[in-house]
Amino acid sequence: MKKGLIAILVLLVLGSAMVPAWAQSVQVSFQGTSSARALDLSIPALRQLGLQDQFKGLTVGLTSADFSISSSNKAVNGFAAGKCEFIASQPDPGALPCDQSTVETSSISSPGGAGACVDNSSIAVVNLATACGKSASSLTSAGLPSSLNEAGVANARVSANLADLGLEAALTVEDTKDQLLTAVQGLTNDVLDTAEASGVPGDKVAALRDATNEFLASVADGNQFAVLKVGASTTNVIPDGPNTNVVSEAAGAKIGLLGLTNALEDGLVILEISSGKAMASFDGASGLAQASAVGPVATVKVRDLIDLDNNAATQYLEAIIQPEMLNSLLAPLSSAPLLETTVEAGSHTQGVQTGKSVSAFASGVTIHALKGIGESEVGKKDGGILLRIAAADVRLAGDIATTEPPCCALATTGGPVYGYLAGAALMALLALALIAYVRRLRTTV
Amino acid sequence: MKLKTFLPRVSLGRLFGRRALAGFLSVMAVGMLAGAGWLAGYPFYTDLRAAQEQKRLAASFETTSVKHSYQERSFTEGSALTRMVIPKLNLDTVVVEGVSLKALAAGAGHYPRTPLPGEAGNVGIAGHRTMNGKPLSNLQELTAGDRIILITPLAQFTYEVIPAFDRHANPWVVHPNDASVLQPTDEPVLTLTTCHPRGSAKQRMVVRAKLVGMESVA
Repeated sequence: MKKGLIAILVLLVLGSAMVPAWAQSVQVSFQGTSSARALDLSIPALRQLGLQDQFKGLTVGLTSADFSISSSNKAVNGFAAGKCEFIASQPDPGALPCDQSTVETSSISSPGGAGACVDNSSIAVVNLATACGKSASSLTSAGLPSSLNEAGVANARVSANLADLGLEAALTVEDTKDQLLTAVQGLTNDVLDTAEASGVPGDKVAALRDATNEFLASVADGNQFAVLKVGASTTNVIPDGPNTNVVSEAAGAKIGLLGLTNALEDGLVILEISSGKAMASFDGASGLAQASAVGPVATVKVRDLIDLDNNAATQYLEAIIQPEMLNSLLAPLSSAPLLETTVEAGSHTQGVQTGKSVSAFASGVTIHALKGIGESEVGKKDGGILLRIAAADVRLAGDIATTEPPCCALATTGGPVYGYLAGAALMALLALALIAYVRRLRTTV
Repeated sequence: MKLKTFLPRVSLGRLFGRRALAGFLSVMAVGMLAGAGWLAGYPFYTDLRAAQEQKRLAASFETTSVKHSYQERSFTEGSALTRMVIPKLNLDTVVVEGVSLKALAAGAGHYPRTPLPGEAGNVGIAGHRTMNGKPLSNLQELTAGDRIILITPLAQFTYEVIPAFDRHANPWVVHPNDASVLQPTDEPVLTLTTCHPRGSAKQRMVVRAKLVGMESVA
């Protein structure tokens, strides 16, 4: 008896816990977009040579992902392109001017993941090593989106060598060199004067001045003005338990200026721009979303030229600075008509919250170098070389709604018509049997 | 098998008197025949009752009270809500508000917590497959592309049956407690439910259609 009561109690408890799924419905819906670009390169200076139609600029390492999850719709799409024509504004994924042999797209119905590459491609004056795009997207068994996208130029080296651009044929390169050297000499002299005034021994300063001038003279005979190496971009949508994490990252770049043999290794100035990263996360349990971004940081390395004559290992003095501070270093160049160069800092935003939406972006470092070369109008300063490095953005919105179902069960709309007819037949048979019995009863009266 | 087997072996005639017993059993037999007639005729009676109710609803649908109800979004159970026309099923019926047994005596009813016809989301309508006018008797005949028209005093909404989706056919069969078919949707859709198999409440047949057109009623 006791066992029976206990069993009934257990069943009741279990029964109350096992509320049918339709009794209350939790609807989780969220959607997001994310993208990253390793490098946008435009060379308006080519106007000078009439080559502007041959090279419309270049975007290297473009990745994006978008997803939308709701009770009635589940979609996730990925995109990765190794190289495209310069994409100036917000891209329309359906009509990107990309080299299709470096593009891979993916979705739930077409998971992708094989990758697409092209070797040693070149666009006009710019040569690229292997450019690849790889994209893989799917939906997990829990119904969360997953998308891994990576694109860039493997062993990338995008050469922006002024000599390669043929600018010497357009008479500007020697002038450019002279102006550049004069500007740099002025800059180094200022630094050395300051050093001397602050107590650095005069013979040390003199040695530095001689070494610098000797170095600049060597550079003037070479062609290693600027070499750029750029990393890949990735955009990943990664499910983690109830969370969906979205991370877009552009790996940054290394720019070598005024090198003897390889400006990336022995340049007078080496500028390293760290990655730009934008992240967002949606918590499927609480419905909360948050976002953050890390903007690129520039590390400036200035070569210590004291030991140049002694063939000592190349030494660099490093300074980690915010990109906008580069402008003050570059200020002397603005006095040269062709060489004005500006750097715009990669502004970044930490988790902008608008209602149930969050967004974050690391807008990258924009360098507009040698603005005076190939201007569309004199004094407009729209020529030169335009670089945008390490840009990433994420937008995410989500919500959780707990809704009561429209009813506890679907309406009963099927009358037991056959039951009625069967019951009628049975009652009729019984009635007939009774009538027969009554007849027999009466005949015996 | 003889009736004797089932009747008591004691002599009822001796117990009550044969004449009295014969009279009582005669009355009982007549009553049972009447009951059998009522049972056999009840499904047809519900059809007649539904037809009468449809006439009354059609008349009330023409009045301005239904329009006011739409404007105020306030309907009482059993009141006319919309006319539903399904050309393929040769169906033209007035749908009432509510899906209780009483409301569904008119044939078809609107699930109260679902949107009104034409509104965003999932409009739910249940209809009898047998008895009570059996408006959705042949629901299984609907296929992708078939039109379902809901006419309200404000506008006429045309829905189109969609192809198979979410890995099931359309129409498809669900458990009677599977109210997920009436869950809100992002797109404006119409969900019709009826009992399955015919004459049984063991399962439900469901059809999903999407809104494809709207015309204002002058």
